[in-house]
Amino acid sequence: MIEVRAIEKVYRGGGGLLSQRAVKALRGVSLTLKDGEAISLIGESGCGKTTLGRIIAGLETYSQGELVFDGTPLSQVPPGDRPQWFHRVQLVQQDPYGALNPARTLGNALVDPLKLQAKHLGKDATWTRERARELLNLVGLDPEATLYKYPHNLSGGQRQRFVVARALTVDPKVLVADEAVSMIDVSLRLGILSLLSDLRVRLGISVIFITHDVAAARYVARDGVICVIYRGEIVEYGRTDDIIRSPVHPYTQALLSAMPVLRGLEKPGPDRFIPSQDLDTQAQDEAGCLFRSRCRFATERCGREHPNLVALDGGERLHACFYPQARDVVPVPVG
Amino acid sequence: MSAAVIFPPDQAPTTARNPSLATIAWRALTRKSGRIIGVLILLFFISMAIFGPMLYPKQLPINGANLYAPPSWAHPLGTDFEGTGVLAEIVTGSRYVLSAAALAALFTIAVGTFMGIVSGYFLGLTDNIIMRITDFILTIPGFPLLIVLSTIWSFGSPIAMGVVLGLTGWGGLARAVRSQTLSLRERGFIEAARGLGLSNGHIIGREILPNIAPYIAMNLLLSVTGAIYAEVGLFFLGVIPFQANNWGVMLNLAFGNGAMYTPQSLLYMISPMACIMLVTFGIVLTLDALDEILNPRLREG
Repeated sequence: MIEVRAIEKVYRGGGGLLSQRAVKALRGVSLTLKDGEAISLIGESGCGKTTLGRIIAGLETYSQGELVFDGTPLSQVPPGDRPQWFHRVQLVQQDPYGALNPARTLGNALVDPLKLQAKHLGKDATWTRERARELLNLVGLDPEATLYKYPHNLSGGQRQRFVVARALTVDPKVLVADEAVSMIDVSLRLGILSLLSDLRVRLGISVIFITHDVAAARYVARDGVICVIYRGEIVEYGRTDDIIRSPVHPYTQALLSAMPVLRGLEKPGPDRFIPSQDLDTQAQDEAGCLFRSRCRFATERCGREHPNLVALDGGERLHACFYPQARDVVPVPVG
Repeated sequence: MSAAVIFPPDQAPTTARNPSLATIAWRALTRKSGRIIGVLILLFFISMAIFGPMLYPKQLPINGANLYAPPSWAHPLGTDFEGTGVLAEIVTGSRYVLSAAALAALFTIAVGTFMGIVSGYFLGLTDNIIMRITDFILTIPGFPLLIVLSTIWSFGSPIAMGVVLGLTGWGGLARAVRSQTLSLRERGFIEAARGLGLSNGHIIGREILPNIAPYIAMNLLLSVTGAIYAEVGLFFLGVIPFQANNWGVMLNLAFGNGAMYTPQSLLYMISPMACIMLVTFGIVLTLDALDEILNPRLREG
């Protein structure tokens, strides 16, 4: 189980020595992910969802808060043990082209981490070879056709499958898939998405799926939760079906409104709205609701007070809006 | 928890291995005739440097009655101002020139690559210290340094020459390797390797080095060329006192003994220059194949 407790991330930068301007990537994000659960983080570019994923995978540090794995907070782990500690979380990167070393065979790329694991578990070289084949089969690649190839011999989908296989070498408990299908041919995306779901069911690996594609987020977390992030804050959180069917935060509604409509078969939801402005990552308005400048329903209170994440009707659904109201924004079938 | 075994464990391991490095090299070389010629030229000069001097006495005979003789069976390239065979001088002189150049290049490559990768990968204080040393090396004027060193150190042995050329030559390569490492370390596969818990040594040696290998190999041969020019130039100018015979000394003596003014000495003058050109030519032709050997993406096609 992973707990993210009020994590904040501030990037210092720009503006010279005296007038340092800090960019807040995450503002007190809290999440809990049980073993075998799937969660989709959605939000537009620059909202901090990738930063959150990288923090959970141990590739980025955080400024405030605490990351807790199975009851042990990271701050209590000695720095020397942290690499081993973060083995349980593996990142599947967005770009399967950059994620593989072009100068080495895929077999080597898979066997190197397996050797470490073999040493750790006290296994021999035969185990390493068998395990490499086993993992490739598991992700749907033919070991004979893959092990002696170079990354440039594979298609984008095959590479992403291989990246998943490599992440599995260290027996992770969590896979963080950061826009894992956005650079893959559309026709191959579903295969990768169902692979992630399949691994979750078969191996009990939790999946954190980071995306701005609502349909993909829904597919991966169809029996899990969706977490909507805006400018480093969670603005809505709940079971996937609830969020998709009846979003209550205007930002979630804006995201869902942006889903393409299959004209002729579907028509736009009656309440859909698209924010007029783009996200201003340099925005300095810290008081009040961060979304208010783009929100059609903003009132004077939104500019004065900051809405905190609260439960909707006392349930497990959370939202951060003063005026939660379900609206029909998802495209509906014609007729 | 462990994955379900789909793969039957008794299945025989595959034999569809990748071709060995030797096979890859052979294929790359035979693809273009120029590459074979280049390698043959290099092999010729290397064997000349290794075995050639064994064929001649340590002190080449002088023959006052046979100055600037035209080519003959005894002296295929004619004779010099003392009646010594030019071919004999070329062959015995090759060892010093080529071994000093090879040593200088190896030294340059080893130090430059190591410094560059370590500096670019670890950054921070390590980077600062190494880069300041590199800057210092880059600012040393190699040529005047050699002149100064020659007053206390006779460059009779190619090892001394090679070490000095190498010591002053690695700065540029270190900077270039560092910048390549800087861009590589941000790539996804390096991050993935860190996430998988692979050691820094592994990342440097197995992930970064193979990616800059073509560049380093290219530099190896280019610095051989550079070192040959540098040492031959020094001897030709006569700023370094010499004891042994080599191509630079031949040129220096040729100019010093009036070879410029008589057409009979043409072969004596041209032979060392032609050798230097041929070696360079061989290096350039061989370089063409190296990139293909070390870069898996270029191998097929």
